[in-house]
Formats: sequence, structure tokens, C-alpha cells
Amino acid sequence: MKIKRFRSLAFKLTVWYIVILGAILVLAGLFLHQGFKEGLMNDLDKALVEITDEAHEKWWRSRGVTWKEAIEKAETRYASYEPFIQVVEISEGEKRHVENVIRSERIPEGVFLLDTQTYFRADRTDIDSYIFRTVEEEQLSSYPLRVFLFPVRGPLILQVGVSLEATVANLNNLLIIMILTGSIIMFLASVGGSFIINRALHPVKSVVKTAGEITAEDLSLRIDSKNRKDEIGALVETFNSMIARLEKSINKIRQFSGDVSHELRTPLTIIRGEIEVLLRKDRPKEEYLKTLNSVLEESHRMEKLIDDLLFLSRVEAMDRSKGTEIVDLDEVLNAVIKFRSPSASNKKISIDSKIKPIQLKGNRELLERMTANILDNAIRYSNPGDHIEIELEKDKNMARLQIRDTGIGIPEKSLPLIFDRFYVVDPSRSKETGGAGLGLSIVKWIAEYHNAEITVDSKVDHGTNFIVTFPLD
Amino acid sequence: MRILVVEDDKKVAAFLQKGLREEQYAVDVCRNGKDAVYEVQSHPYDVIILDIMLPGKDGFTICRELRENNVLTPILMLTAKDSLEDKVIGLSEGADDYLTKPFSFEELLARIRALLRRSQDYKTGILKVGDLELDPLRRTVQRAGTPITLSGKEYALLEYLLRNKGIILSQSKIIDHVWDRNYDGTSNLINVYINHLREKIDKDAEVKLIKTVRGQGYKIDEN
Repeated sequence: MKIKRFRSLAFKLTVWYIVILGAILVLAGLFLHQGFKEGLMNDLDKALVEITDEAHEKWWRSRGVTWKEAIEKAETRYASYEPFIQVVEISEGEKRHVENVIRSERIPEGVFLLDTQTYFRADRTDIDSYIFRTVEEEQLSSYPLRVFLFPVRGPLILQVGVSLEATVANLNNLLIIMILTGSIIMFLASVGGSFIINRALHPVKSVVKTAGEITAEDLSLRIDSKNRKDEIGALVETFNSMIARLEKSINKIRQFSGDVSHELRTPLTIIRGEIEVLLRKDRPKEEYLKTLNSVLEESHRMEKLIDDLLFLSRVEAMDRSKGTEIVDLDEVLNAVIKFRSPSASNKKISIDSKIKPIQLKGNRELLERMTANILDNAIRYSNPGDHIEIELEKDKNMARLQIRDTGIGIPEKSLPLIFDRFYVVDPSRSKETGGAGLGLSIVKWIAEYHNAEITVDSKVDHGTNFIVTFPLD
Repeated sequence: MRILVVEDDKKVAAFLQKGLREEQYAVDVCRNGKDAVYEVQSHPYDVIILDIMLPGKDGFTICRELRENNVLTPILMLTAKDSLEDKVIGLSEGADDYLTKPFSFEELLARIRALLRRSQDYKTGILKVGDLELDPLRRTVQRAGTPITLSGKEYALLEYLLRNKGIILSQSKIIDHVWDRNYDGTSNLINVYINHLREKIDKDAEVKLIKTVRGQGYKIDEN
């Protein structure tokens, strides 16, 4: 699958990363700006206090120096600040008003006056509560002014103001520097971040590429984990083991359908071939009869196979909770033995049974089929004169069913395979006896359905013993 | 023409043998790969019909082994598998043709004829020497336009001679290709059949086609 660039994980991660980084930078910038601003204001306030002190000192220390002279001296001393200094005289009586203002020549008349209330409040302040104000006074400065009010005996208020021009300029410079460095950081971070993220996600792309090449037809491909021990390595491992499981089950299905096809095609080939050869010319009656019998036999073979296949596909979808009842296993066994006895005695095989009454929870039809299949096998793979023993007994909380024969037995190397579908020990022999190799796989399935354990003991030329152990509740 | 059928299913092998014998082919049957390789090396077969799913050695392996041993006999694979992959494997292991079960017996015969023709470089399929013609498809023989009726073995013998036109064929070679392994008669029988053929083909004709090469065998030739 092709992923659109802006939908890609790398793109999303980069965007998120930039947004978060941007937010952090803005926040840090705000704090920095605020802190810097407070610092500058503090410095300015200190300077205001110093200038005020200077003017007050000049007036206080040197007897005979007028306020006017003191103001001028302070202005000269702190010329770099270009301070505006004036002394405001307020009334002492009931009626509160400004009596007189001694101002520097730099201040035009009627300018730089605060409201009367503030002056009266300033008169009652001391070192802990001095009043600092930021005011607009366009005639003095195009920038706001920082103003300090200092009460002097009199009652006089010494008012000193300094323009915020330098402070604002400093703050603006800071802002510009912050924006510039911020932008550069953001740019480098996004380029670098996207590079790192793309690099980290590169293995994912190669995983996607290989995974895209894997199809149901060819599951042999595996993704190269390049021995990575990280999350992607783990993902690749998981992926590979999933593909391996898929391959195994698809191969099983393929093998199964191939076997089904072979098993169905063989009788069809015989039916068609025998009839076609037969019809090529006129023949004696016996030949027609022989061929018809053979064709009938083959159609039985197909019928049995189709029946087994349908049974398997039906029961595999069956719900385990349904269809269970209390079954008398002994009755089931006796019925099966009764039904199979004629074919056994035809082959001169004797059947003995020791069956104790046992009830268990299960499916009667399935149990019948299971015991019939095992017994059929015992009859099929025994020779005339052989003997079959069927035993059902209770052992603690188990029911044990044994079907023993003295027949041809199963070679040791075939034992682990006999429950596989379509496995037949000796193909030429089973074709003559009519087994397609589904019987025991059905038996195994039914045993598992009943939580029973099935084991086989066998020795070639000595016989076979099937043991099914059912749990009893 | 002698055919080996390698097929493990008894009934399939049986109807193949019966049908092919009725078409005057000499037919032997093997039921597993090991026997097949042995049989092919001890008898000169003209066509091998080979099943793929065999006990022990499968058809692909047998085919490859035969080709590795320089056996050039045409091989027709017969199998219940019909996936393209299997066909490709079969043909690349050295099989000449492929037929999926179940098959039409007519088609099998046609393919066998095609394989025989291919191996002998014939284009039309009609075998000719002078004015003698044999049509393997219709199983008819005529000399100068006059139809001649032959018995099964006479026909098989004539077909073998015609397919090896101009080549001297020893009596044992004729036995190998015209009779299957159940034949245990003497070479004198060949003489009898050659005489029967001469009766029917050469007796009334000016040019005698079947020739005896003293001490070596027989050949069919127009000069």
C-alpha cells in the first residue's frame, strides 16, 4: 500500500513534535520576556529612587539651596536618564488641593501632574509603601513615563519621572532576538526531527514492502529482521511467525484438497476408462457384468469418500455444547458389533466382547461412528482366522475402550501418521480393501470432541490395539 | 509397438492394459517406480505411460532418472493432479506429454500415436513404402489402393517394420517391440508371421517389399 506523504506516521510525528516544541519555545519566551521586563523595571525604579535621593539630599544637606537648584543639580548628575523632576506642594487644611509646583525647566506648565488624591496618598507613605506609577505624558515623551513619588516634610511631594524609551527598546530587541533564534531552532528541529523519524521508521517501510510481496500463492518469503532487537525486530518476528503459521495451514489445506482430488479422480478414471474400453467393441456378456460390478464398486468407494468428507466438514463446524446427551456406551458398542458381525464372519474373523455398562456424556451418533470406524479397520486389516477382542471397562473415573485385533499390524514408522487425513499405510493394500485414509482422522476428531485420549499399540503381523480413554464426570 | 504402463492402481492399470492390447500394442505393467526403472532398462519400450503418484518413487523422479540414464523413450505422464505447476514440473523433468485423470481413452490413444509419430519424424501419420500404405489412426492397410485385412499381430508386425523402414530388424528386436514380456515362444513364430504378411502383401505384387537378410533379420524396403 502506498501511503500519502501527509498521512504518513513520519509526517504526523514530525508535525506533533514541531507543535510541541513550538509551544515550549513560546512559553519559555513569554517567561523570559516577563522576567527581563521585571528586571528592567526594577533597575529603573532603583535609578528613580537614586535620582530622588540625590535631589532630596542636595536640598536637605546644603542649607540655602532652593528646590529649584537641587532639581537642576540632580538633573545634571543623572543627565543620562533625562529625568523630569518637580516638587509638588499640597495644602494642609481640610480642602485638599495642590498649592504650588516647583518644576524643572524641562517640564512645561500644567503637564506631568497626577491627580490630587495620589499626592495626598503619597504624603502618607514610607519606605514600604512608596508609590511608583507608569503614566502617559505625550508632551514629555512619546513613551510612557515611570514616576516615583517621595514625601518630603512640608508637606511636599518630590516627583521624579523617567521615560521608558530605553526599557521598551531593550524589550523589543529581546523580542526580535527571541523570534529569530526561535525560528532558527524550529527550522533546524523540524529538519533534524523529520530526518531522525524517517530514519527510525525506515525498517517499517521495508517490512511493508516485503509483506506486500507475500501472497497466498507464495508464503515462502520472510521479512529480514536484520537481527534487530528493538520493537521493529519484535514486530518482524511476530509477522514472520504469523506467516509461517499461515503457510503451514495453507499447505495443509492444499495437501488436503490435492488428496481429495486424487481420491475422487481415481475412481472416476476407472469408471470412465473401463466403460470406454468396454464400449470399443462387442463383447461377451460376462465382460459387461464384470465391468458393471467394478464400476459399482468404484461408485461405492466414491460414495464412502464423499460421505466421510461431508461428515468432516459438517462436524468441524459443530457446536460442542449442543448435541450432547447421556449415552450408554455399552449399548452403542453392542449395536455396532451386531451390525459388523456378518462382514467379520464372512472373512472368517471372530469377535469377542467384554462390555461393562457405562454411561457418559457425549454424542451418540459420533460415538457410533468412532467405534464403527475402529472396528471396520480391525476387520479390514485382519486375515481369515484372526481374532478381534472388544473390551469396555471402568477404571477409577475413566472409561476405557479397547479394540484389539490379531491382524496385519501397523509398521512402527507409520504409527505417528495414521491419524492424518488420507494417510494410508500401504496404498496398494488399502485400495483393495476400500480405505481412503479418512476413517482414523474421523476417529481422532471424535475422540477429541469427547475429551478422550486415543492411543495405538501395534506390531506388524501380530495385530493392533486401539485404546480410547474417556473421562467420566 | 511396445508400451510400459507404470500405475499403482490395479484397476486403472488393468483397463489400460486391456484397451491398449486391443489396439495391438504390446503392453507391460509396473506398479512401482523401482520396477519401472528396471523394466525400461531391460526392454526397449516405444512409449512409457507414467503415473505421478506412485508408492516409493514418484513419477517425476522416475522420469528424471530415466532421462539421466539417456532413455529417450517418449513418456506420457498420467496423473490425478491438474495444477499448472505439476504439468510444468512433469514436462521439465523430461516428460513429453501430460494427461489428467480422468481422461478419455480415445485421447490417450491419439496422444500415444502422436508420440510414436514424433519419435519417428513422421508428419502425416500414414506409414508408406512404395505403394503400401498403413494408417495407424484407422488401423487400415492397403496395397496399390486395395484394402488388405490383417490380424492383430500381423498388423503390429507390419507397423513395426514400416516405422523402421530400410533398417534390418533382428528377430529378437522384433519380439521386443511387438510382443510383451509374457511372450515365451520361439523365434520361429516370427517366421510364421512374416510368411503370413508376405502372403497378404507381396504375393500378388510385382515388387516384393518384405525382405529377408540372411543371418541378420528382416526389413521392409521398396528397392
